[in-house]
Amino acid sequence: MKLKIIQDKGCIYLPEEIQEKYNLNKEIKICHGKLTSRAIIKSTKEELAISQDLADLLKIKEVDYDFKIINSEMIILGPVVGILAKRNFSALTLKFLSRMERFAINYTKGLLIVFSLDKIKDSSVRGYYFNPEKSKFEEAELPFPLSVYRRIGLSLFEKNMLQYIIGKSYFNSHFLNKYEVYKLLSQFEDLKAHIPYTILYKNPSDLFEMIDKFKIIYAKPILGLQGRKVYKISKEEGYIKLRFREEGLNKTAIINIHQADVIDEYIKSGNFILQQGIDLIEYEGRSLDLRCIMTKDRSNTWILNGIVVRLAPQGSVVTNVSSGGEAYMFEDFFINNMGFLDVYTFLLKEKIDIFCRRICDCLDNLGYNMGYLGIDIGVDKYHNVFLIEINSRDPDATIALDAQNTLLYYDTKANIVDYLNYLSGFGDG
Amino acid sequence: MIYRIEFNEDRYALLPFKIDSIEKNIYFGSKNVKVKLRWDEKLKNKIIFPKSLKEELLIKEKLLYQIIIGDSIKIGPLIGILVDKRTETLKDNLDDYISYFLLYSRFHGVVFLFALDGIDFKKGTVTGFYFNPFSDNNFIYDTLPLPYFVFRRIGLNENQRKYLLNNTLLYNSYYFDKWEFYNLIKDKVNTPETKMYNKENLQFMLNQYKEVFLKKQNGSMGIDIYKIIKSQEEYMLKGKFDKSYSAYKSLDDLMKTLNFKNYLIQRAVKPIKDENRCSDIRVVMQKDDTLKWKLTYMIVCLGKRDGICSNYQRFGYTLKFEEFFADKLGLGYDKVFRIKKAIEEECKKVCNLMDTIGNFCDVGIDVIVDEDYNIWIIEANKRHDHRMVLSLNDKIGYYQIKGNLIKFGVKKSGFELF
Repeated sequence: MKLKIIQDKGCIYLPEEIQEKYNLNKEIKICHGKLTSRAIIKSTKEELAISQDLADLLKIKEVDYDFKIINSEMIILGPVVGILAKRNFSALTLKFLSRMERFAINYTKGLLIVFSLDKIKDSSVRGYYFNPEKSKFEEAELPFPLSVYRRIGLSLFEKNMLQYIIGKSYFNSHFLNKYEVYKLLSQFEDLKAHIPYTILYKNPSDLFEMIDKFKIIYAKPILGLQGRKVYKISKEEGYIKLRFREEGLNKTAIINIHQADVIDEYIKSGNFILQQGIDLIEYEGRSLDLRCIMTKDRSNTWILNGIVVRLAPQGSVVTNVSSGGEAYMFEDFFINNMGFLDVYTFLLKEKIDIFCRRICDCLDNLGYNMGYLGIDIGVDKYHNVFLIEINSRDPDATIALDAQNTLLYYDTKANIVDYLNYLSGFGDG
Repeated sequence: MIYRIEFNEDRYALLPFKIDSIEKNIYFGSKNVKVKLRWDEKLKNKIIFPKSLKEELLIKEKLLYQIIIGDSIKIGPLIGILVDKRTETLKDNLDDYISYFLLYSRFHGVVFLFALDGIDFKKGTVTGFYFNPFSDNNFIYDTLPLPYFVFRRIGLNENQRKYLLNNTLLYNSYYFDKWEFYNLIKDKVNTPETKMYNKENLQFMLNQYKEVFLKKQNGSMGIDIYKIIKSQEEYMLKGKFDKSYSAYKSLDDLMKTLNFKNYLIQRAVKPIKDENRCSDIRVVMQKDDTLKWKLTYMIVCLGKRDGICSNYQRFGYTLKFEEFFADKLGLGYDKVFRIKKAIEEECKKVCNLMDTIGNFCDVGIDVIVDEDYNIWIIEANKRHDHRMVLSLNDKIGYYQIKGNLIKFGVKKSGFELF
């Protein structure tokens, strides 16, 4: 429903049947994002309308709106939802905004806002809203949205500010590092057996202890991305071997166990985790793991949107596409490449689905507000599943495009907006 | 957590965990018995019941069970799938149903197949075939209590339906015909206008839309279907199996040709065609363990060339949704995605409306996308053919459809998947 703007003051025009249906008072509070105002209700036989002064005050745009009426005394125009995409307004370039249009793939109503941290001002923000008529984002003064998907890191102060404005209606509420993931989820007995044992690296003796225990271990930066500085470590007679990928090449470092301090050149105390190595299934000698794309939908339910197999380059210890890996859809890969029967592929998929949703539910129960996660799963030769890591810092959805699945890519984007809509009060249930 | 149940000569039940009461009712489906309780943590994953409970509750040994502790103790899951009228025929076709049990190890308990004649309405028991993964022949013929959850795939009379509805969580609980369905959805979703068959209505519909379908009110599989086209001088009629149209000078002449009693007149919307084949989309909507409606699958059906409908079984074929809209019609993926979402949206509305008149968790909705990409809901099939997806050679899709039903039953009756 488009809200017509007319030359009048301090009023909203509503059809009588709506007034009767919701038993509305004569005066009502209007909410448009975080901006609010009181208005006198006037009757109309035609479409909904609002007076010019209130439209200006509430920063109403010429788009279709849905509305919710709360307790006969408040009308919420929406959804008004936002993506906190950059720290600085200047980084919201035309090129960047055109990429953001993919979030509007299933746009229907309200304001979908892209904004930066530096332009937040009380209950409003200078940013860009999706204009459906032009199919692109347009700059404007806008109400602060009622829910936010944040794609950037925030300081505690900045998080508190966001929380002060919209409460808990932003996600992902926390970017979990690799050690936090282990500590949080290994509390749950049913998950513990499916998470490789992990410690925070402090000194070389930690490494020797782990390697004696598990034979093969991984060292990973707790905040690392894209497989950078991931070391697969094994012990041979008198020395330890570090295998890693750097600048598109597989490299090996041999360190004499009596020169343990050399380890510090690779693995920094306090910044790395040591993770038990699991003997995972491989394809033609190449490592593989599974990226499970998890989103919530507009009924606040976790969904496994799709599973992408990430196949490492020959000899590589990491599977990331950015490090030269390849991506395939799970079902195709396991049936056509791995030679799995359909039935085993289905059973493995179901096992992964239940496991991933359980992980997400546990994070919900721990009080985090997550809405979009990339969960990396490993599978051993007995088809047991293991949690390798969780990407909570704006996981890259283009992995679906790498696997030639454009619909999965769009699904992911659309679901993020659906969950935003849910958080802003315009979801199902 | 799953438990093995054993029996001994004692008068009390021995549990591996402490509970708040010394006596509780123990339920297994419709059967329940009050039992004194003791605990022994050394039992770990074992529960020991007095021998008498074996007969009273009809619990099957050697299987593993989940336990729900509340005001009473609930043993399960116990899920029944009503698939046939006669046990004798079911017995011969048991292997056809094996896909229902693929996910069994994710929840355990008892899942069984039964026929209508296996229900003992007086005793409140069912005799059927339960799945036993530890036995060589998978199925064991035995008597069980009425299950917590029943999914039915066959027709029932009103008494049978009410009995199951009162004593179990009966899904697909209610039969509705095309007319009732139309009246349920007509104001809420986009559906072609439909009227009861009579001359006045036919005249009106033809004046309004020029092309209409006549469909049997309670017909299925698209068997009783005719198309009428009104031109300036005549009326043209073609049945589903007719090679060409027959022309009639007047509506009266046309109406005399066949007995259209209990037929409906439905506006004929123009589906997207490919090689002059009509298309429609079978949308499989199901509830799974999230207990919410989800789109499980979409199958595009293309009918025979120059045919009046999209029935693919004779001279037609099926395609996956993306194959049809992206590969065949050449639409961009953004457009394909929007069509998919719009279909999902409309189908969810239909399912939510169905929830207001009965218990449903599995429905095949027929949808037409017209030449302007508008979405039209045509009808909902309560007992749709799960094997349709196999025409696309997609066994995983088939297992998913079967699996979702069982996952829903497990969760709906209060048990967990792991």
